[in-house]
Amino acid sequence: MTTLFKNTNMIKRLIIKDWELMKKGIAGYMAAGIVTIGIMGMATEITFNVGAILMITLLIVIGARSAVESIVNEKKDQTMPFILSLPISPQHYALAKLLSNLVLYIVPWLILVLGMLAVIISTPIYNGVIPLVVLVSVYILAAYCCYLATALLTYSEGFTIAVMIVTNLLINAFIIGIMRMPEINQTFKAATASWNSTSLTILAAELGFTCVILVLTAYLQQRKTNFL
Amino acid sequence: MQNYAFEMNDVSIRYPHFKMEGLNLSLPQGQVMGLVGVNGAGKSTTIRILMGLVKADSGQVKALGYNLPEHQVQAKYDIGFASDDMRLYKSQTLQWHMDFIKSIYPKFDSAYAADLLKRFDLIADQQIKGISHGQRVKACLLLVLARRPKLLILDEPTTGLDPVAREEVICELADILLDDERSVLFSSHNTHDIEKLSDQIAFLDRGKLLALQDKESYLESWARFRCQINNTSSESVLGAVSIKRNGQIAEIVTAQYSPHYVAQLQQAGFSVLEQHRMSLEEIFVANIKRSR
Repeated sequence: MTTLFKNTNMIKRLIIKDWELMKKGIAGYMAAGIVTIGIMGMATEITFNVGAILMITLLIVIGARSAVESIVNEKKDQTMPFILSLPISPQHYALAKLLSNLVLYIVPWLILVLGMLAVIISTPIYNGVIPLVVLVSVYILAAYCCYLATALLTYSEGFTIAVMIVTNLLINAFIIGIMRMPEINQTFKAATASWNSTSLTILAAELGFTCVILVLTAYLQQRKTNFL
Repeated sequence: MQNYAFEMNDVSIRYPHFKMEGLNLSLPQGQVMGLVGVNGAGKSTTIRILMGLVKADSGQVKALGYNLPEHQVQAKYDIGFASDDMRLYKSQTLQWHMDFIKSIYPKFDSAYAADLLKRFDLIADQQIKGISHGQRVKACLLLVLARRPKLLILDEPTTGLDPVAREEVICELADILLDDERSVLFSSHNTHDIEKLSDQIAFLDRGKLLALQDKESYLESWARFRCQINNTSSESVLGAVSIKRNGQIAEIVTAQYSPHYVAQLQQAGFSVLEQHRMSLEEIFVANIKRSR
Protein backbone atom coordinates (compact mmCIF):
# COMPACT_ATOMS: atom_id res chain seq x y z
CA MET A 1 0.00 0.00 0.00
CA THR A 2 2.91 2.36 0.82
CA THR A 3 4.39 1.80 -2.63
CA LEU A 4 1.01 2.63 -4.13
CA PHE A 5 1.09 6.10 -2.58
CA LYS A 6 4.69 6.54 -3.70
CA ASN A 7 3.65 5.72 -7.24
CA THR A 8 0.49 7.82 -7.60
CA ASN A 9 2.26 10.11 -10.04
CA MET A 10 2.91 7.23 -12.43
CA ILE A 11 -0.65 5.94 -12.05
CA LYS A 12 -1.87 9.46 -12.84
CA ARG A 13 0.38 9.59 -15.93
CA LEU A 14 -1.10 6.35 -17.22
CA ILE A 15 -4.65 7.60 -16.68
CA ILE A 16 -3.82 10.79 -18.60
CA LYS A 17 -2.21 8.67 -21.32
CA ASP A 18 -5.41 6.61 -21.71
CA TRP A 19 -7.44 9.82 -21.87
CA GLU A 20 -5.15 11.18 -24.61
CA LEU A 21 -5.51 7.96 -26.59
CA MET A 22 -9.30 7.79 -26.27
CA LYS A 23 -10.44 11.39 -26.18
CA LYS A 24 -11.30 11.63 -29.90
CA GLY A 25 -13.50 8.55 -29.74
CA ILE A 26 -15.21 9.73 -26.57
CA ALA A 27 -15.85 13.15 -28.13
CA GLY A 28 -17.51 11.42 -31.09
CA TYR A 29 -19.73 9.35 -28.80
CA MET A 30 -20.66 12.41 -26.77
CA ALA A 31 -21.73 14.16 -29.98
CA ALA A 32 -23.87 11.13 -30.84
CA GLY A 33 -25.25 11.21 -27.29
CA ILE A 34 -26.29 14.84 -27.64
CA VAL A 35 -28.11 14.04 -30.91
CA THR A 36 -29.83 11.11 -29.17
CA ILE A 37 -30.92 13.29 -26.24
CA GLY A 38 -32.24 15.76 -28.82
CA ILE A 39 -34.34 12.98 -30.40
CA MET A 40 -35.68 12.02 -26.98
CA GLY A 41 -36.41 15.68 -26.31
CA MET A 42 -38.90 15.80 -29.20
CA ALA A 43 -41.11 14.30 -26.52
CA THR A 44 -43.37 12.08 -28.61
CA GLU A 45 -43.76 8.44 -27.65
CA ILE A 46 -42.01 7.24 -30.83
CA THR A 47 -39.04 9.63 -30.62
CA PHE A 48 -38.59 8.94 -26.92
CA ASN A 49 -38.57 5.17 -27.47
CA VAL A 50 -36.25 5.43 -30.48
CA GLY A 51 -33.98 7.74 -28.49
CA ALA A 52 -34.01 5.36 -25.52
CA ILE A 53 -32.96 2.41 -27.72
CA LEU A 54 -30.24 4.52 -29.31
CA MET A 55 -29.04 5.65 -25.88
CA ILE A 56 -28.86 2.08 -24.54
CA THR A 57 -26.88 1.08 -27.64
CA LEU A 58 -24.59 4.08 -27.26
CA LEU A 59 -23.88 3.41 -23.57
CA ILE A 60 -23.05 -0.22 -24.39
CA VAL A 61 -20.82 0.76 -27.32
CA ILE A 62 -18.88 3.33 -25.27
CA GLY A 63 -18.20 0.70 -22.59
CA ALA A 64 -17.30 -2.02 -25.07
CA ARG A 65 -14.92 0.24 -26.94
CA SER A 66 -13.29 1.46 -23.76
CA ALA A 67 -12.65 -2.07 -22.39
CA VAL A 68 -11.51 -3.54 -25.70
CA GLU A 69 -9.42 -0.64 -26.92
CA SER A 70 -7.73 0.30 -23.71
CA ILE A 71 -7.20 -3.13 -22.13
CA VAL A 72 -7.58 -6.02 -24.57
CA ASN A 73 -5.92 -4.19 -27.45
CA GLU A 74 -3.03 -3.09 -25.26
CA LYS A 75 -2.19 -6.77 -24.92
CA LYS A 76 -3.12 -7.65 -28.51
CA ASP A 77 -1.24 -4.72 -30.07
CA GLN A 78 1.74 -5.48 -27.82
CA THR A 79 1.94 -1.99 -26.32
CA MET A 80 1.77 -3.56 -22.86
CA PRO A 81 5.52 -4.44 -22.72
CA PHE A 82 6.26 -0.78 -23.51
CA ILE A 83 4.15 0.41 -20.56
CA LEU A 84 5.35 -2.32 -18.20
CA SER A 85 8.97 -1.36 -18.94
CA LEU A 86 8.22 1.97 -17.24
CA PRO A 87 8.60 2.47 -13.48
CA ILE A 88 5.35 0.80 -12.54
CA SER A 89 4.54 -2.61 -11.12
CA PRO A 90 2.05 -4.81 -13.01
CA GLN A 91 -0.33 -4.44 -10.05
CA HIS A 92 -0.23 -0.65 -10.22
CA TYR A 93 -0.60 -0.83 -13.99
CA ALA A 94 -3.79 -2.87 -13.53
CA LEU A 95 -5.03 -0.39 -10.94
CA ALA A 96 -4.32 2.50 -13.32
CA LYS A 97 -6.27 0.66 -16.02
CA LEU A 98 -9.19 0.05 -13.68
CA LEU A 99 -9.29 3.70 -12.62
CA SER A 100 -8.82 5.16 -16.09
CA ASN A 101 -11.53 2.95 -17.54
CA LEU A 102 -13.93 3.81 -14.76
CA VAL A 103 -13.29 7.53 -15.20
CA LEU A 104 -13.42 7.34 -18.99
CA TYR A 105 -16.70 5.46 -18.84
CA ILE A 106 -18.43 6.93 -15.80
CA VAL A 107 -17.97 10.56 -16.92
CA PRO A 108 -19.69 10.11 -20.34
CA TRP A 109 -22.22 7.71 -18.74
CA LEU A 110 -23.09 10.30 -16.08
CA ILE A 111 -23.34 13.14 -18.61
CA LEU A 112 -25.62 11.11 -20.90
CA VAL A 113 -27.81 9.79 -18.07
CA LEU A 114 -28.16 13.26 -16.54
CA GLY A 115 -28.92 14.59 -20.04
CA MET A 116 -31.70 12.03 -20.42
CA LEU A 117 -33.13 12.88 -17.00
CA ALA A 118 -32.98 16.60 -17.81
CA VAL A 119 -34.95 15.95 -21.03
CA ILE A 120 -37.55 13.92 -19.14
CA ILE A 121 -37.94 16.58 -16.46
CA SER A 122 -38.06 19.53 -18.87
CA THR A 123 -40.47 18.03 -21.46
CA PRO A 124 -44.02 16.63 -21.24
CA ILE A 125 -42.60 13.08 -20.95
CA TYR A 126 -44.04 11.35 -17.82
CA ASN A 127 -41.56 11.76 -14.97
CA GLY A 128 -42.75 8.39 -13.68
CA VAL A 129 -40.39 6.77 -16.20
CA ILE A 130 -37.33 8.11 -14.32
CA PRO A 131 -36.85 5.05 -12.03
CA LEU A 132 -36.89 2.75 -15.07
CA VAL A 133 -34.35 4.94 -16.90
CA VAL A 134 -32.09 5.01 -13.84
CA LEU A 135 -32.35 1.25 -13.21
CA VAL A 136 -31.58 0.39 -16.82
CA SER A 137 -28.68 2.86 -16.92
CA VAL A 138 -27.20 1.43 -13.72
CA TYR A 139 -27.66 -2.09 -15.16
CA ILE A 140 -25.57 -1.00 -18.16
CA LEU A 141 -22.93 0.39 -15.77
CA ALA A 142 -22.88 -2.92 -13.83
CA ALA A 143 -22.63 -4.88 -17.09
CA TYR A 144 -19.74 -2.62 -18.15
CA CYS A 145 -17.96 -3.41 -14.87
CA CYS A 146 -18.41 -7.14 -15.60
CA TYR A 147 -16.63 -6.99 -18.94
CA LEU A 148 -14.11 -4.48 -17.63
CA ALA A 149 -13.26 -7.04 -14.91
CA THR A 150 -13.05 -9.84 -17.50
CA ALA A 151 -10.78 -7.77 -19.73
CA LEU A 152 -8.50 -6.86 -16.81
CA LEU A 153 -8.25 -10.35 -15.40
CA THR A 154 -7.87 -12.26 -18.65
CA TYR A 155 -6.72 -9.72 -21.29
CA SER A 156 -8.65 -12.02 -23.59
CA GLU A 157 -10.71 -10.63 -26.44
CA GLY A 158 -12.77 -13.84 -26.61
CA PHE A 159 -13.73 -13.90 -22.93
CA THR A 160 -14.44 -10.17 -22.87
CA ILE A 161 -16.70 -10.35 -25.92
CA ALA A 162 -18.46 -13.42 -24.46
CA VAL A 163 -19.27 -11.48 -21.25
CA MET A 164 -20.41 -8.50 -23.35
CA ILE A 165 -22.79 -10.72 -25.33
CA VAL A 166 -24.23 -12.36 -22.21
CA THR A 167 -24.75 -9.07 -20.33
CA ASN A 168 -26.24 -7.42 -23.41
CA LEU A 169 -28.63 -10.32 -23.94
CA LEU A 170 -29.66 -10.13 -20.29
CA ILE A 171 -30.54 -6.45 -20.62
CA ASN A 172 -33.76 -7.38 -22.47
CA ALA A 173 -34.69 -9.86 -19.75
CA PHE A 174 -33.87 -7.23 -17.12
CA ILE A 175 -36.08 -4.55 -18.77
CA ILE A 176 -38.96 -6.95 -19.31
CA GLY A 177 -38.58 -8.27 -15.76
CA ILE A 178 -38.73 -4.89 -14.04
CA MET A 179 -41.49 -3.61 -16.34
CA ARG A 180 -43.64 -6.56 -15.26
CA MET A 181 -43.26 -5.62 -11.61
CA PRO A 182 -46.52 -3.91 -10.58
CA GLU A 183 -44.68 -1.61 -8.13
CA ILE A 184 -42.76 -0.20 -11.07
CA ASN A 185 -45.05 -0.34 -14.10
CA GLN A 186 -48.00 1.23 -12.29
CA THR A 187 -46.03 4.45 -11.80
CA PHE A 188 -44.81 4.87 -15.40
CA LYS A 189 -47.41 7.40 -16.32
CA ALA A 190 -47.24 9.31 -13.06
CA ALA A 191 -46.41 13.01 -13.23
CA THR A 192 -43.59 12.57 -10.71
CA ALA A 193 -40.90 9.95 -10.26
CA SER A 194 -41.96 7.41 -7.69
CA TRP A 195 -39.17 5.62 -5.85
CA ASN A 196 -40.63 2.77 -3.86
CA SER A 197 -38.99 -0.05 -1.91
CA THR A 198 -38.87 -2.33 -4.98
CA SER A 199 -37.08 0.13 -7.23
CA LEU A 200 -34.74 1.20 -4.43
CA THR A 201 -33.91 -2.44 -3.62
CA ILE A 202 -33.09 -3.17 -7.27
CA LEU A 203 -30.94 -0.02 -7.42
CA ALA A 204 -29.09 -0.97 -4.23
CA ALA A 205 -28.54 -4.51 -5.56
CA GLU A 206 -27.13 -3.15 -8.83
CA LEU A 207 -24.79 -0.74 -7.06
CA GLY A 208 -23.74 -3.39 -4.52
CA PHE A 209 -23.03 -5.89 -7.32
CA THR A 210 -20.97 -3.26 -9.18
CA CYS A 211 -18.90 -2.53 -6.05
CA VAL A 212 -18.31 -6.24 -5.38
CA ILE A 213 -17.13 -6.78 -8.98
CA LEU A 214 -14.71 -3.85 -8.78
CA VAL A 215 -13.29 -4.79 -5.37
CA LEU A 216 -12.92 -8.44 -6.44
CA THR A 217 -11.15 -7.39 -9.65
CA ALA A 218 -8.69 -5.20 -7.75
CA TYR A 219 -8.09 -8.02 -5.24
CA LEU A 220 -7.51 -10.72 -7.88
CA GLN A 221 -5.20 -8.42 -9.85
CA GLN A 222 -2.98 -7.92 -6.82
CA ARG A 223 -2.59 -11.70 -6.52
CA LYS A 224 -1.41 -12.27 -10.09
CA THR A 225 2.25 -13.26 -10.47
CA ASN A 226 2.58 -13.48 -14.20
CA PHE A 227 2.12 -10.66 -16.68
CA LEU A 228 2.67 -10.41 -20.42
CA MET B 1 33.85 -5.85 -3.67
CA GLN B 2 32.36 -6.42 -7.12
CA ASN B 3 29.26 -4.39 -7.97
CA TYR B 4 26.67 -6.17 -10.03
CA ALA B 5 24.13 -4.67 -12.39
CA PHE B 6 21.94 -7.64 -11.62
CA GLU B 7 22.15 -10.88 -9.70
CA MET B 8 19.90 -13.91 -9.99
CA ASN B 9 20.52 -16.52 -7.32
CA ASP B 10 19.03 -19.98 -7.42
CA VAL B 11 16.02 -18.78 -9.40
CA SER B 12 13.40 -21.37 -10.29
CA ILE B 13 10.12 -21.12 -12.13
CA ARG B 14 7.84 -23.79 -13.48
CA TYR B 15 5.23 -23.65 -16.23
CA PRO B 16 3.22 -26.57 -17.61
CA HIS B 17 5.72 -27.15 -20.45
CA PHE B 18 8.80 -25.35 -19.23
CA LYS B 19 10.89 -25.24 -16.11
CA MET B 20 13.90 -23.27 -15.02
CA GLU B 21 15.66 -24.59 -11.97
CA GLY B 22 18.36 -22.99 -9.87
CA LEU B 23 19.46 -20.33 -12.34
CA ASN B 24 22.48 -18.33 -11.16
CA LEU B 25 23.32 -15.42 -13.40
CA SER B 26 25.01 -12.12 -12.60
CA LEU B 27 26.39 -9.26 -14.60
CA PRO B 28 29.20 -7.04 -13.25
CA GLN B 29 28.55 -3.33 -13.73
CA GLY B 30 29.75 -1.88 -17.01
CA GLN B 31 29.73 -5.23 -18.83
CA VAL B 32 27.72 -6.40 -21.83
CA MET B 33 26.27 -9.88 -21.52
CA GLY B 34 24.94 -11.80 -24.50
CA LEU B 35 22.22 -14.25 -23.56
CA VAL B 36 22.13 -16.96 -26.21
CA GLY B 37 19.63 -19.74 -26.65
CA VAL B 38 17.21 -21.28 -29.11
CA ASN B 39 13.53 -20.32 -29.07
CA GLY B 40 12.04 -21.56 -25.82
CA ALA B 41 15.40 -21.74 -24.03
CA GLY B 42 14.22 -19.39 -21.30
CA LYS B 43 15.79 -16.11 -22.43
CA SER B 44 12.55 -14.13 -22.34
CA THR B 45 11.51 -15.74 -19.05
CA THR B 46 14.86 -14.72 -17.54
CA ILE B 47 14.37 -11.17 -18.78
CA ARG B 48 10.75 -11.00 -17.59
CA ILE B 49 11.86 -12.10 -14.13
CA LEU B 50 14.52 -9.38 -14.22
CA MET B 51 11.92 -6.79 -15.19
CA GLY B 52 9.58 -7.88 -12.39
CA LEU B 53 6.94 -8.95 -14.92
CA VAL B 54 7.04 -12.56 -13.79
CA LYS B 55 7.51 -13.65 -10.18
CA ALA B 56 9.91 -16.57 -9.80
CA ASP B 57 8.68 -19.50 -7.72
CA SER B 58 11.86 -19.32 -5.66
CA GLY B 59 15.26 -17.64 -5.57
CA GLN B 60 16.53 -14.10 -5.22
CA VAL B 61 16.69 -11.44 -7.91
CA LYS B 62 18.41 -8.08 -7.55
CA ALA B 63 18.83 -5.36 -10.16
CA LEU B 64 20.89 -2.25 -9.47
CA GLY B 65 20.80 -3.16 -5.79
CA TYR B 66 17.01 -3.43 -5.59
CA ASN B 67 15.20 -6.64 -4.71
CA LEU B 68 12.79 -7.73 -7.43
CA PRO B 69 9.93 -7.83 -7.95
CA GLU B 70 9.24 -5.93 -4.69
CA HIS B 71 11.24 -2.79 -5.58
CA GLN B 72 10.83 -2.90 -9.34
CA VAL B 73 9.41 0.62 -9.48
CA GLN B 74 12.61 2.17 -8.10
CA ALA B 75 14.80 -0.16 -10.19
CA LYS B 76 12.94 0.60 -13.42
CA TYR B 77 13.84 4.29 -13.21
CA ASP B 78 17.37 3.17 -14.14
CA ILE B 79 16.57 0.18 -16.34
CA GLY B 80 15.87 0.56 -20.04
CA PHE B 81 14.04 -2.34 -21.63
CA ALA B 82 13.24 -3.06 -25.26
CA SER B 83 12.05 -6.30 -26.81
CA ASP B 84 11.06 -7.58 -30.22
CA ASP B 85 7.44 -7.91 -29.09
CA MET B 86 7.28 -4.32 -27.90
CA ARG B 87 5.06 -1.99 -29.90
CA LEU B 88 4.29 1.70 -29.65
CA TYR B 89 0.85 3.31 -29.94
CA LYS B 90 -0.02 3.25 -33.64
CA SER B 91 -2.29 6.27 -33.54
CA GLN B 92 0.38 8.51 -31.98
CA THR B 93 3.61 10.02 -33.25
CA LEU B 94 7.13 9.34 -32.05
CA GLN B 95 7.14 12.88 -30.63
CA TRP B 96 4.09 12.00 -28.50
CA HIS B 97 5.97 8.97 -27.18
CA MET B 98 9.06 11.08 -26.45
CA ASP B 99 6.95 13.62 -24.55
CA PHE B 100 5.27 10.80 -22.62
CA ILE B 101 8.61 9.26 -21.61
CA LYS B 102 10.02 12.70 -20.76
CA SER B 103 7.13 13.30 -18.37
CA ILE B 104 8.10 10.15 -16.46
CA TYR B 105 11.89 10.20 -16.47
CA PRO B 106 13.50 13.34 -15.01
CA LYS B 107 16.82 12.32 -16.58
CA PHE B 108 15.41 12.14 -20.13
CA ASP B 109 18.04 13.72 -22.36
CA SER B 110 16.21 15.70 -25.06
CA ALA B 111 19.42 16.71 -26.85
CA TYR B 112 20.53 13.08 -27.00
CA ALA B 113 17.07 12.07 -28.22
CA ALA B 114 17.32 14.67 -31.00
CA ASP B 115 20.76 13.33 -31.90
CA LEU B 116 19.47 9.74 -31.98
CA LEU B 117 16.55 10.88 -34.10
CA LYS B 118 19.05 12.01 -36.76
CA ARG B 119 21.34 9.01 -36.41
CA PHE B 120 18.44 6.60 -36.68
CA ASP B 121 16.94 8.59 -39.55
CA LEU B 122 13.54 8.87 -37.83
CA ILE B 123 10.84 11.53 -38.20
CA ALA B 124 9.42 12.71 -34.88
CA ASP B 125 6.06 13.80 -36.27
CA GLN B 126 5.37 10.60 -38.18
CA GLN B 127 2.59 8.38 -36.86
CA ILE B 128 3.85 5.03 -35.60
CA LYS B 129 1.40 3.14 -37.85
CA GLY B 130 3.25 4.50 -40.90
CA ILE B 131 6.74 3.36 -39.97
CA SER B 132 8.55 0.16 -40.89
CA HIS B 133 9.54 -2.62 -38.48
CA GLY B 134 13.19 -1.46 -38.57
CA GLN B 135 12.18 2.13 -37.79
CA ARG B 136 9.96 0.90 -34.96
CA VAL B 137 12.87 -1.00 -33.41
CA LYS B 138 15.01 2.14 -33.68
CA ALA B 139 12.20 4.25 -32.21
CA CYS B 140 11.95 1.89 -29.22
CA LEU B 141 15.73 2.06 -28.75
CA LEU B 142 15.65 5.86 -28.93
CA LEU B 143 12.99 6.01 -26.22
CA VAL B 144 15.03 3.68 -24.03
CA LEU B 145 18.48 5.16 -24.62
CA ALA B 146 17.46 8.80 -24.13
CA ARG B 147 16.55 7.94 -20.52
CA ARG B 148 20.27 7.20 -19.96
CA PRO B 149 19.58 3.93 -18.13
CA LYS B 150 22.27 2.34 -15.98
CA LEU B 151 21.14 -1.11 -17.06
CA LEU B 152 19.92 -1.78 -20.57
CA ILE B 153 17.97 -4.99 -21.20
CA LEU B 154 17.36 -5.88 -24.83
CA ASP B 155 15.29 -8.95 -25.63
CA GLU B 156 15.85 -10.03 -29.23
CA PRO B 157 15.92 -6.44 -30.51
CA THR B 158 17.14 -7.40 -33.97
CA THR B 159 14.65 -10.20 -34.64
CA GLY B 160 12.75 -9.75 -37.88
CA LEU B 161 14.97 -6.97 -39.19
CA ASP B 162 16.35 -7.11 -42.72
CA PRO B 163 20.17 -7.41 -42.87
CA VAL B 164 20.69 -3.70 -43.57
CA ALA B 165 18.45 -2.53 -40.71
CA ARG B 166 20.04 -5.09 -38.40
CA GLU B 167 23.52 -3.87 -39.25
CA GLU B 168 22.44 -0.26 -38.63
CA VAL B 169 20.96 -1.12 -35.24
CA ILE B 170 24.00 -3.18 -34.22
CA CYS B 171 26.41 -0.42 -35.28
CA GLU B 172 24.48 2.17 -33.31
CA LEU B 173 24.32 -0.12 -30.31
CA ALA B 174 28.06 -0.83 -30.50
CA ASP B 175 28.66 2.92 -30.50
CA ILE B 176 26.34 3.47 -27.57
CA LEU B 177 27.86 0.61 -25.60
CA LEU B 178 31.21 2.41 -25.49
CA ASP B 179 29.89 4.03 -22.33
CA ASP B 180 31.72 2.03 -19.65
CA GLU B 181 29.20 2.86 -16.96
CA ARG B 182 26.32 1.22 -18.75
CA SER B 183 25.59 -2.47 -18.21
CA VAL B 184 23.76 -4.37 -20.91
CA LEU B 185 21.97 -7.69 -21.10
CA PHE B 186 21.36 -8.56 -24.73
CA SER B 187 19.37 -11.64 -25.64
CA SER B 188 19.32 -13.11 -29.10
CA HIS B 189 19.36 -16.34 -31.01
CA ASN B 190 21.44 -14.49 -33.57
CA THR B 191 24.97 -15.33 -32.49
CA HIS B 192 26.57 -12.85 -34.92
CA ASP B 193 24.99 -9.96 -33.01
CA ILE B 194 26.04 -11.40 -29.67
CA GLU B 195 29.59 -11.97 -30.90
CA LYS B 196 29.87 -8.36 -32.03
CA LEU B 197 28.50 -6.71 -28.90
CA SER B 198 29.12 -8.84 -25.84
CA ASP B 199 31.86 -9.02 -23.22
CA GLN B 200 30.28 -12.08 -21.63
CA ILE B 201 28.36 -14.98 -23.07
CA ALA B 202 25.62 -16.88 -21.28
CA PHE B 203 24.20 -19.97 -22.96
CA LEU B 204 20.72 -21.05 -21.96
CA ASP B 205 18.95 -24.19 -23.06
CA ARG B 206 15.71 -25.62 -21.73
CA GLY B 207 15.86 -23.35 -18.72
CA LYS B 208 19.41 -24.34 -17.78
CA LEU B 209 22.54 -22.24 -17.93
CA LEU B 210 25.00 -24.22 -20.03
CA ALA B 211 27.86 -21.73 -19.88
CA LEU B 212 28.71 -18.29 -18.52
CA GLN B 213 32.10 -16.91 -19.46
CA ASP B 214 33.83 -13.89 -20.90
CA LYS B 215 33.58 -13.91 -24.67
CA GLU B 216 37.28 -13.96 -25.58
CA SER B 217 38.28 -16.85 -23.35
CA TYR B 218 35.09 -18.68 -24.25
CA LEU B 219 35.77 -18.44 -27.99
CA GLU B 220 39.39 -19.41 -27.39
CA SER B 221 38.40 -22.51 -25.46
CA TRP B 222 36.62 -24.07 -28.43
CA ALA B 223 38.32 -25.56 -31.49
CA ARG B 224 37.61 -28.05 -34.24
CA PHE B 225 40.19 -30.51 -35.60
CA ARG B 226 40.18 -32.58 -38.73
CA CYS B 227 42.25 -35.66 -37.99
CA GLN B 228 43.52 -38.79 -39.65
CA ILE B 229 42.43 -41.88 -37.76
CA ASN B 230 45.31 -44.30 -37.15
CA ASN B 231 45.27 -47.89 -36.04
CA THR B 232 46.17 -46.75 -32.56
CA SER B 233 43.36 -44.15 -32.32
CA SER B 234 41.38 -44.43 -29.14
CA GLU B 235 37.59 -44.24 -29.02
CA SER B 236 37.51 -41.11 -26.87
CA VAL B 237 39.70 -38.10 -26.24
CA LEU B 238 39.88 -36.12 -23.02
CA GLY B 239 38.07 -32.77 -23.43
CA ALA B 240 36.36 -33.71 -26.69
CA VAL B 241 32.79 -32.49 -26.98
CA SER B 242 32.15 -34.58 -30.09
CA ILE B 243 34.00 -36.98 -32.35
CA LYS B 244 32.50 -37.55 -35.81
CA ARG B 245 34.10 -40.37 -37.74
CA ASN B 246 33.88 -40.67 -41.50
CA GLY B 247 36.10 -43.42 -42.89
CA GLN B 248 39.69 -42.62 -41.92
CA ILE B 249 38.85 -39.01 -41.07
CA ALA B 250 37.56 -37.76 -37.73
CA GLU B 251 36.24 -34.32 -36.83
CA ILE B 252 36.90 -33.58 -33.19
CA VAL B 253 35.43 -30.61 -31.34
CA THR B 254 36.79 -29.55 -27.96
CA ALA B 255 35.71 -27.00 -25.39
CA GLN B 256 39.07 -27.24 -23.57
CA TYR B 257 41.42 -25.97 -26.23
CA SER B 258 44.99 -25.03 -25.32
CA PRO B 259 48.20 -25.11 -27.36
CA HIS B 260 48.86 -28.53 -25.82
CA TYR B 261 45.64 -30.01 -27.14
CA VAL B 262 47.23 -31.03 -30.47
CA ALA B 263 49.79 -33.12 -28.56
CA GLN B 264 46.95 -34.63 -26.56
CA LEU B 265 45.21 -35.67 -29.79
CA GLN B 266 48.42 -37.17 -31.12
CA GLN B 267 48.85 -39.10 -27.90
CA ALA B 268 45.33 -40.45 -28.42
CA GLY B 269 46.42 -41.73 -31.82
CA PHE B 270 45.07 -39.00 -34.11
CA SER B 271 47.13 -37.12 -36.70
CA VAL B 272 45.92 -33.54 -36.89
CA LEU B 273 45.36 -32.46 -40.51
CA GLU B 274 43.60 -29.14 -39.93
CA GLN B 275 42.75 -26.98 -36.98
CA HIS B 276 39.97 -24.36 -36.96
CA ARG B 277 38.74 -21.75 -34.53
CA MET B 278 34.99 -21.90 -34.14
CA SER B 279 32.47 -19.13 -34.56
CA LEU B 280 29.99 -18.49 -31.77
CA GLU B 281 27.28 -20.00 -33.96
CA GLU B 282 29.24 -23.25 -34.34
CA ILE B 283 29.93 -23.30 -30.61
CA PHE B 284 26.27 -22.61 -29.92
CA VAL B 285 25.14 -25.59 -32.01
CA ALA B 286 27.82 -27.89 -30.55
CA ASN B 287 26.94 -26.82 -27.03
CA ILE B 288 23.23 -27.43 -27.51
CA LYS B 289 23.88 -30.86 -29.05
CA ARG B 290 26.19 -31.76 -26.17
CA SER B 291 23.61 -30.78 -23.56
CA ARG B 292 20.77 -32.79 -25.08
